[in-house]
Amino acid sequence: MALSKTVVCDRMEVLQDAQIQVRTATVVAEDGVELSRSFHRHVLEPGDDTSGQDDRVAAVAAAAWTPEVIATWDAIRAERQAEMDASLAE
Amino acid sequence: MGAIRFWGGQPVSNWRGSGGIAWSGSTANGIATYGDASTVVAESTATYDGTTLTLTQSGGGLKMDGLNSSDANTLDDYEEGYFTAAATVASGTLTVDTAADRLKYTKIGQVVHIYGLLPAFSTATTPSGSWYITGLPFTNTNTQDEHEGDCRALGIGTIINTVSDVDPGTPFGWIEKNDTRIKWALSGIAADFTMNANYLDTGSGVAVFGSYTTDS
Repeated sequence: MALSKTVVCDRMEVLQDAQIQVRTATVVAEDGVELSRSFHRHVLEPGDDTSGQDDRVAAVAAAAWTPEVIATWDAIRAERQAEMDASLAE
Repeated sequence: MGAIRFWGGQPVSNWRGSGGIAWSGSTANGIATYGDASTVVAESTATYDGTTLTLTQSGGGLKMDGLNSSDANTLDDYEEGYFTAAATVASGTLTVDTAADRLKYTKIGQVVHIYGLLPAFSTATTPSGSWYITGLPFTNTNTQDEHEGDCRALGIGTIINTVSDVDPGTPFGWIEKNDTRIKWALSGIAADFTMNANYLDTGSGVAVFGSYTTDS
């Protein structure tokens, strides 16, 4: 009987504004038969540091996050912040 | 073209099609599944009586993993998991204790439920101004129907063990559209109702509970 535990990035979802939703699965198996699978989630936004990310996540980010995409995202983020601040100040 | 042939008085398990298809199992209303190239199996743990689908196998369930249906009446996703929270603050330092920074989520359809307690900050060095809890598992919806408000999620938790009484006001969390952060604010305040981080020290806790929607 051999138990194993592996952590894999099993899903990436690229959203309209190029945020990347990443699902990481921790899989416990016995003799190759999966016993359990649990998920952890995080989201990367254009321009975020991808060091330490799964290689495939970093590759997707490098492809999707062109300078134009990052500039657009920065503008979206600034607009979002302005809308929130305006609502808070009303 | 083959046909299913019936022998009177024979149990379901003896049905055999003239094309060579056999049916095994005798569960009433059992759902038929593929057995092999010549066998249909009536499952003993899944039944449908014409109105109700019943699953009874312990350890099983109904699995929907990001099916992305566009139909508003279709439940297309269910997922349970964890996310790791962190903090940002306008001025000073505010760090979530990494020994207790994981929170739970459950996603049902497009609704994400988040819950858990961040019991302490490992550092809180003169924190001041607006502050956020970051790291939400999904991005809040960006699909605006009428106005920004229909994308926002409010009432996402509260703060406990503040440095001093929060008066007037009550802390609550705010998730802006297209965002993965919880902004902390105070209800019952006439002007700027941003919650100042100077209410926080290392003993303060963040109770996270509430729901928001996602476009994914």
